[in-house]
Amino acid sequence: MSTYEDTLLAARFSALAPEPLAGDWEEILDRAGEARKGRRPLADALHSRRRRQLVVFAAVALVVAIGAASALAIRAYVFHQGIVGLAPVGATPSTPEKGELVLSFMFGHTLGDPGRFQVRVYADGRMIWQRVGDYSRTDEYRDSTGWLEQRLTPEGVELVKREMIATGLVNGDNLHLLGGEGLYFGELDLRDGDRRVHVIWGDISDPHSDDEARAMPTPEQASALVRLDERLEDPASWLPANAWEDPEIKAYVPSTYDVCLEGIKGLGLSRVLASLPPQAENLLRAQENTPWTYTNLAGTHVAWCSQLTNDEARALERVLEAAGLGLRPTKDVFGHVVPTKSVFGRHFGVFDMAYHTDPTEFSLDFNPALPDQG
Amino acid sequence: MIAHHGYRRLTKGFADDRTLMTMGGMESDLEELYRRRQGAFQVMLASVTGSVDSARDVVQEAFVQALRDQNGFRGEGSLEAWVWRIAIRVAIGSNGSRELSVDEVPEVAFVDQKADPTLAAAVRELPPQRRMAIFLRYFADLSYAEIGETLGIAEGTVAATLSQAHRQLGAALSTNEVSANEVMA
Repeated sequence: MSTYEDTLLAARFSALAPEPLAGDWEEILDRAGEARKGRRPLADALHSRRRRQLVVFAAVALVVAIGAASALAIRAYVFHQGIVGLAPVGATPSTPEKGELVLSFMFGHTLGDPGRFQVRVYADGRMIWQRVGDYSRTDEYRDSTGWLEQRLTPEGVELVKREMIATGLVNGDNLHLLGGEGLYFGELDLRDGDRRVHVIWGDISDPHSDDEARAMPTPEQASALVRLDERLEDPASWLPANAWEDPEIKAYVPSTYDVCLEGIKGLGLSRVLASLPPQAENLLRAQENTPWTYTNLAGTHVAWCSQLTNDEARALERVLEAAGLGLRPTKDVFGHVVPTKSVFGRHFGVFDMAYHTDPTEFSLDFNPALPDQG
Repeated sequence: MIAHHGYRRLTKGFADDRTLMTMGGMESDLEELYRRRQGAFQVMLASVTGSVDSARDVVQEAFVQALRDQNGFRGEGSLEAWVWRIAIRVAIGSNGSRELSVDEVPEVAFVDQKADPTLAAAVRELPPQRRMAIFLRYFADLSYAEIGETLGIAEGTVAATLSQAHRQLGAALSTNEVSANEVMA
């Protein structure tokens, strides 16, 4: 479950929560029969002393926090090279357009999306990765890197692959683990010839996983995954020079965008298309519009997705912007402003269609396609 | 969440007054906890007792017991989790000193059905242990680690229980809300 869904469920539960009655601490003290009069000054003195300690502690914590924030800000500045919005005219797409996936890895550092790290390594040497910040608290997704690209040599691909094999988790069958032992959620996928091994852990959806049959990770399995994450998040620290064809971190420029349109639950494609400006409707009506089903806490939903070239995507974007849709402030169900342009692509319409009921509303997302997608 | 390392540091240097000093500091922390969180205690416990009135009584009694039995807090976890354990035991009428078990959660659960009938119905269908974990997560706003500490179970078990509860809730909400929207097709 994502942070978003966790927050949504929390909001729905808060609506169910009854209003608490007023408390009465004095009543508790009386009932506890405490002879407080002689002890109060000492308690107060200790309390004050503890407060001072807390102030000192808080000051130290603040310094540490500022330091950490500064470090994060520097890192965010250095690595914030992913494309914001759609690929600009003249940006050269990553080549080749398609790629054979060798391995992928996702590691959650919190209960939800903030901090999530993902990397995908391709047979042609491309290593495409991103780190997700706490986008619910930033207006431009500044803490997220967006998809970035580096290039490995065949030796480098093999070394990364060996690193994954060294965990001991991909030598047998697929593995479905629970969270715990410091693991929140994640998955890894290794393809070796005809063999494919998939490992998942924690609160993550997998249609092929039986929740009841999941096992607790052993401390060894957990530490192997944590170590793998540390290695894959910082490959420059251990990969030799000959592992890199091009270690420079560049924005990943897609060749196409997956454009997904969604109306309220149960509404047919034609009616959803009709809610768009005519030019946008015509442009998308000419596409294949493959249904894509997803399930979250509000149920199962269908979006229709098309693959558009960068030129087509930009043309559609212009039409939507000309209709004034790009200027309309977008908010999620909690009232947070959601950027229409971010390192995750481009968004028009309402943010979370699954929770809306107005049949004239729609949600339209442009997502950069990765080499093994589309 | 209150950090309790300070207590251990304090008591080492004042052996003669250890009990008194610990109790004095703990009383103020219990008061702080009560003033900050008694509303959350009431809301969560109402789901077990069946009403806010009775939940308030439970919260009062739990803090009375916590004040009287301060030595029962060994400082191995958080003060709040310790009080939660007392409160839940009071709520379910268990006075024993054994570890609290999620299996002890009664079938009865109180939620305001008018506010969100679909969710209320879905919650009622949850097995007791999943419902307890969900209530501690969303009514009491406890983290996985805190839930584990409160219920005396591993964080991974909390994660698994909540994961199963989320899926069950998702399926129930999906069924009910899809049927409500099918008329739009």
